[in-house]
Amino acid sequence: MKYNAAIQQKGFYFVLPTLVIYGIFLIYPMLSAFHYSFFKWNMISESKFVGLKNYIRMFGDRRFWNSYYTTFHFTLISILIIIIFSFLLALLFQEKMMLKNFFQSSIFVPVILTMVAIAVVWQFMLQSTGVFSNIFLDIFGINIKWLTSKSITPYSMILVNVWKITGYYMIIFIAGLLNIPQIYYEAAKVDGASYFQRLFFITLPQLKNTFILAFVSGVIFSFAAFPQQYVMTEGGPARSTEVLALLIYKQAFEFTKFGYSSAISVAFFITLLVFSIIQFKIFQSESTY
Amino acid sequence: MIKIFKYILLVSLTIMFLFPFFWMVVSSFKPTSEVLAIPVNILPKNWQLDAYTNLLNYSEYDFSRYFLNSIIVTFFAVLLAVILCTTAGYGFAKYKFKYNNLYFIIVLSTIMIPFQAIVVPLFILMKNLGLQNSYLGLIIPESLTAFGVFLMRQFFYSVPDEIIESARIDGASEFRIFWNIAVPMAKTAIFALIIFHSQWVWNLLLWPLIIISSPEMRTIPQAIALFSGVYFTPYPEQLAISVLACLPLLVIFVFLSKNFTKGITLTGLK
Amino acid sequence: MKKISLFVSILFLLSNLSIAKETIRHIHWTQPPYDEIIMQTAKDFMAKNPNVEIKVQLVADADMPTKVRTALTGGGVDTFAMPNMQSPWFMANGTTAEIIPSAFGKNTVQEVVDMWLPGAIKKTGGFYEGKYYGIPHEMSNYAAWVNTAHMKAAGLDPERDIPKTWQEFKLIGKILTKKENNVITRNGFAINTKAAIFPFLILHSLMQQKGQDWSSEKGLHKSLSTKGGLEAFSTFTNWATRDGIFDPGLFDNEREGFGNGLTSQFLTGGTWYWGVLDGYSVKRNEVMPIKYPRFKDGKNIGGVAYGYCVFVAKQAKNKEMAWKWLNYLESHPEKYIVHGWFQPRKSLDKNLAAKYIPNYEVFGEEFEYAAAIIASANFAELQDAVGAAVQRVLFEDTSNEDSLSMLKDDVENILEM
Repeated sequence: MKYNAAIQQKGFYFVLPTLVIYGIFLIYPMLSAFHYSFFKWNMISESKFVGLKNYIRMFGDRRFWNSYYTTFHFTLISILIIIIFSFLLALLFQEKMMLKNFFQSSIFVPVILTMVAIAVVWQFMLQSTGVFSNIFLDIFGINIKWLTSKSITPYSMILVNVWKITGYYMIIFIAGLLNIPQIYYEAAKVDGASYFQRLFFITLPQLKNTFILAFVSGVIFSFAAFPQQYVMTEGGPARSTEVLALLIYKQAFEFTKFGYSSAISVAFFITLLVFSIIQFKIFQSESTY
Repeated sequence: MIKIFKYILLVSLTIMFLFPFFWMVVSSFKPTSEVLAIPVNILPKNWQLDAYTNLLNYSEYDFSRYFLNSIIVTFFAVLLAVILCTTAGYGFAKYKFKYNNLYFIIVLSTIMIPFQAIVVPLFILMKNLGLQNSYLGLIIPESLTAFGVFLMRQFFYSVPDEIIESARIDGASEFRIFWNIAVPMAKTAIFALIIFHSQWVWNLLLWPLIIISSPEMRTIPQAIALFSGVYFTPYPEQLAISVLACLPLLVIFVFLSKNFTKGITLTGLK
Repeated sequence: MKKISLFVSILFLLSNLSIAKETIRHIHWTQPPYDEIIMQTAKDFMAKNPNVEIKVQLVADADMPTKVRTALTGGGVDTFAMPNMQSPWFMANGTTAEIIPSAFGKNTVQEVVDMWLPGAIKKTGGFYEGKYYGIPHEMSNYAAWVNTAHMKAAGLDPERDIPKTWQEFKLIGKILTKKENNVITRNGFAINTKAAIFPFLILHSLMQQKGQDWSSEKGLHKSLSTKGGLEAFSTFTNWATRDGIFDPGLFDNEREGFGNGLTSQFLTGGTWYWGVLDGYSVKRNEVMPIKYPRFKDGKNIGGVAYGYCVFVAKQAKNKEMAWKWLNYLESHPEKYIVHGWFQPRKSLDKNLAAKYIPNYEVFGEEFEYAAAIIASANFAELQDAVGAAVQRVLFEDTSNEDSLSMLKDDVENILEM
């Protein structure tokens, strides 16, 4: 037992470089930002201690709660669609087929495109005489205000988000599927299991870690997304796409309210922390890792 | 018949996902006035290479230098990221040391704060370390990805403990086990990490904008942003450089995804 | 021998120190083709002053305030350009140095100010609370632009029928708006509603015309509870909501839209627009800049005047040399005017402006009646609040009265009233 514990403790050395570097370049700035949330600071002048004033302001700020809601809405719907869609795509690519690499690459291309270029294309496609509008007008006879409606534009953002990052999660699922030993499938086939039985009793359980990874990282990333909203709608129309990350950016860099921005960042952080701890507790207990 | 349906589905998906990119490429061969014109013309009336040749003529914009900067920074940032994430992921997954979970939550917590919130304190820190406007100033912060640690940890979980134990009994050192057994098994995950992280670093705009002050040190995204003028945006040029900018990433992706190998080699248990 | 070599090496060191280069780091925004002029000017200055090195950093205009602010925290900037909307923040927070007359070869600040047209520095954002901090790099004002080809096609006469009042503007807009299946395919008027600055600048003129004072924070706040303010605001929002001449969904950028023939009128173009237009399909002879329409019973105020100044950072080591550099930078208005870019320096030959800028008389005349923009360190937030007020009416079906009332609350919060 003593022998075992010593070896287990050696694992710490694998983790140490990361802890040190992340500590200096991420944790320290994070603590700095936390510190500033109790001050009024515009990046230039002396900072002024204001205690809990930023937090009090935040809790009463309708704009903050609007961002909170917008972000949740965007995140949950995006992730739900993306995870299901990307998993199904990964399953599709398990089969043998011609030009597999070409098809896979096509779905991944949106991931690598730079946001500025994407914004131009999508804005052009979504404007009232754009491709999408034309299609909907021809088929359904209605003119949808993709980017100029408070109720619809959030879904346009979700659409662009799904288009952009499905390929990313598809790769995660493909990698996950490739790590399932073929032996399991062969044995099941011998036993006469159907495709769906193999899917539900082998694939899904084996992919549990992958689903957790996709879901948790997906939520965290979508929660923090803002380049898309920044470039395409600037948070509009009427703040319907002003997600938290965008509000944080605006408060810090446009309004130079760095202290208030930090307070919102803290709220953001605590939300995600609570989320991670909850998922940790739920999935930690089943340790078939 | 299912096969035909499958190919129809694949082609439709490809069209949906690729169409915007196709529009980007095709529009880079149009003159500015045609790009956003209505009625919509997808293909150029007259194909012209002007946008691309103009890129070579912008006297103060040294695009080849920006490409070089992006390549250098991306290569080293990804290398550092892979080193840190594989070691940390392995340590977190395969060892039960004191405060393992706590340390992991601390590392994971670094992606729970939006980057904009730490940009200014990080900048001040880098200035104090004398790293502003330098490659290192870009490489180190851009190598940090708690997601990468998370990813590697999840994948290292699936390396069977028995293999590790038997290697230990055979007298291998912890590092040997890591390097010769665990890492090859997680090859797929490492390739995925390289793909993800290189595209993230390559397209990063906010951090280089803040920390880089001399034009020679600019990276590609900054160059692309520079085209968005106050009154006038030369779209073909901007699209041309965006197309050129995504080619290296496309090459990395195609190359690595071809190498996704099947299955775990259960050498130890055979 | 040893003493001599020591002496020589000290001499050598000292001589090296005296020719050690001074560096001036200048941040400017990028806008071809003017970037080349700036870089060449820097090279010329360095040739004349061999012990000075000018390092010019060009960033996208939208990123400039962020870039300058972060550079200021890191001690990494000596001189910079800034538009008059953003500059009050920098002046109010003590980051800029006052003009040093001796660097210009003058004795008093007023003599330096007099090197530019009257009121130029104030209108371009170089003046704050009694002190002068910047010298102009650009001065522009907005005119209304009309597509005369569209007018002719609709049976209107481009000489007689150009709109002089907002009522006429609306009517012409209605005639020129094109629809297909109830979808607007050509706007009678357009503005970028995404970026708050543009509605703000148009509203500024409308408000001033209705007798409100949007050149001060107090005046802006007061206008939100007056009848005149409501009328100005409604005139603007009605173009989209009631008059049917503006669909924000057709395109974002009205400068592009006008150039592509997708809107017949727009209100946010300066003299520089001629050069911009050349990149689009609409030709120069198909458009005309005209004076901003007025209200029948309103004040005689035109489109807004705005500009950019260049400043010396308070943390700059050699401020006198920095001002020398800036003075040199701003001494070549004849190089800029050929592209249609106006710098209000007295040394500029007025005939050149008329020569290179078609319809210059419209802009030049209007300049006297141009509305001077508010100089407030809270500009970013005020502009954002006004933009939100407009968006509420356009996209959320809020009434003009309710939206203005909410704007009033926002402004009170911002100004901590």
